[in-house]
Amino acid sequence: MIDRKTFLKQSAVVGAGLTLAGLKPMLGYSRNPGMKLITIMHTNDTHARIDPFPAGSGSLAGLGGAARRMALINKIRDKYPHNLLLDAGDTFQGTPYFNYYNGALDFKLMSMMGYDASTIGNHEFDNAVEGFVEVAPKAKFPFVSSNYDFIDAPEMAQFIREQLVLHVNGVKVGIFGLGVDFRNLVLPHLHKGVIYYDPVLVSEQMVRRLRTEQQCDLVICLSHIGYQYSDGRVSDVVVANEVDGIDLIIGGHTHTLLDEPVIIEKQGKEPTIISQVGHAGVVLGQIDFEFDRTNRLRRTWAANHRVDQTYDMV
Amino acid sequence: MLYKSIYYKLPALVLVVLLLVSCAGFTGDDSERDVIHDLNRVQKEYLRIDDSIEPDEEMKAFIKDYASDLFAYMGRKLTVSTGVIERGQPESPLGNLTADILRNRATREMGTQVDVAILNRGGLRIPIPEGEVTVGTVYELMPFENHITMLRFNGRQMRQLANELAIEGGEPVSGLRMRIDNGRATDLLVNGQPVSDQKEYWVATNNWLADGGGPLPTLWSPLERRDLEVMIRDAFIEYLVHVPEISPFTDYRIRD
Repeated sequence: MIDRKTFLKQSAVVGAGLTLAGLKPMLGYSRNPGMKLITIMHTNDTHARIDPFPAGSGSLAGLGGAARRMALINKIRDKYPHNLLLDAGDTFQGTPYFNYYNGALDFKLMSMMGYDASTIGNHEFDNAVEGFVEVAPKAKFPFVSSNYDFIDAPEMAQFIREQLVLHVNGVKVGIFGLGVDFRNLVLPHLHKGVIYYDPVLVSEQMVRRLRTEQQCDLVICLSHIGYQYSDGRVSDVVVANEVDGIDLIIGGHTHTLLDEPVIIEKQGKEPTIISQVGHAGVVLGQIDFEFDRTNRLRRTWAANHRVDQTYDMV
Repeated sequence: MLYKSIYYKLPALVLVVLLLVSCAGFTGDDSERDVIHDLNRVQKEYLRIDDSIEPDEEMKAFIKDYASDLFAYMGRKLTVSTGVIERGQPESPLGNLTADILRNRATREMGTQVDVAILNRGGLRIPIPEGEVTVGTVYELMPFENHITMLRFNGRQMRQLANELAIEGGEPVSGLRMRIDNGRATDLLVNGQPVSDQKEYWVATNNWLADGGGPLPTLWSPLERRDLEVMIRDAFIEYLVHVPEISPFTDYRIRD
């Protein structure tokens, strides 16, 4: 059987410029009666890239930009009414916007875009705990972080949720967050009062809570621990392999631009999908989940529309 | 725009319809099967945000006020670069320039000879482009709020430090010359002289490296440490505004 990806690609060749975007309105609704569709849009490591990359930025020149991202998100929302917009951390640092506005503008813009949740990346500590606390009220969405313990930083803890349960289209979505080890990365005085715990152990605990106690139908991890390392350090790939019950890991930190979401298959268990979309808001990820009447996850697919000139030739 | 234009593309539309009919056929079959994830059907493309997307007008207007304030500050011209000043290893034009600026400023602050300056190449975030160098360029180059930290070492520690630089394949340095031979530092000179066990040396660096960030552990246990109230970025800006132009250069201070 020909799979849809190949099928679409072949069709696109035959159609010489068939705009895949044109398909999307039809895909926005489940074709199967009684099935429910939930759309996840995601970013990571946006790094204060509010304007598109300027000329002279190599392959990234002219890409990205918050106002464009907003327009794209609105378009997708029109067609996919049941959606979540999520981010995997490192909103701070990268352009003078951060040095000048300390992240406040980024959080305002993300609030305007309607983000549902983000997590804490290592750069969120660049201006110390106090620096985050100062601008965090501008974020009209929660930060989910499960393996950082804000035990002696109560002023930061008030903006953090250990886990988040959201109801979308009658489906219960559980979200937890993972942050990277501070060692050799975030100086002790900048993360004063915040302790790092092992992502694998914490993930097992979070999945148990979200799946068993909260009865979530879909479990998503917002991760800022990085996609994969050659030295075997804990990463998204390690978590996906060692922890059962995570449907989707939205990754960050390593600025990995995956060509496509990676599926970690597991013997006799449900697979985990890992997705990470580079950095600086150049790409927006979209992953759709389809549930049946009993809220059982039936089918998963990632966005099949690319919005760029390649498809704009007819 | 993309969406409107499709209405004028009848042939493509016909294909879309055909396509949907076929897809619907597959989907119907699959829904009857007892599969949780039909992974063969995972579609795998990402959305690129480029100039085919018209920006959201409201957000564009909102950003504009912030941007004009920002550019009034960041747009100030400091100097001109005659070429692109790149990062790299074992030495690099960008590493040489920035480490020289650091040593120069540290010497002035200390009122005494500062022997060596060391930065981390990972902390230099962009190459300096050819042409106008603005305050904004320096912010992008050095976005971090790091200050100058002075560390004093004996000769043995200096040799150890050079070996750590060699293991890394070279980091931005000033005042030090060496060759990397199989991951070891050889032909080590500080201020043109071999390192002496009878002498002590001042090294200028940033507080991130001194506080345990980065791969140079010798920097974590100096004989003496002094933190200067000078931001690294401010040192760069102050230097650049006083030179008419800068150019990329290498001088084999670290060589393979």
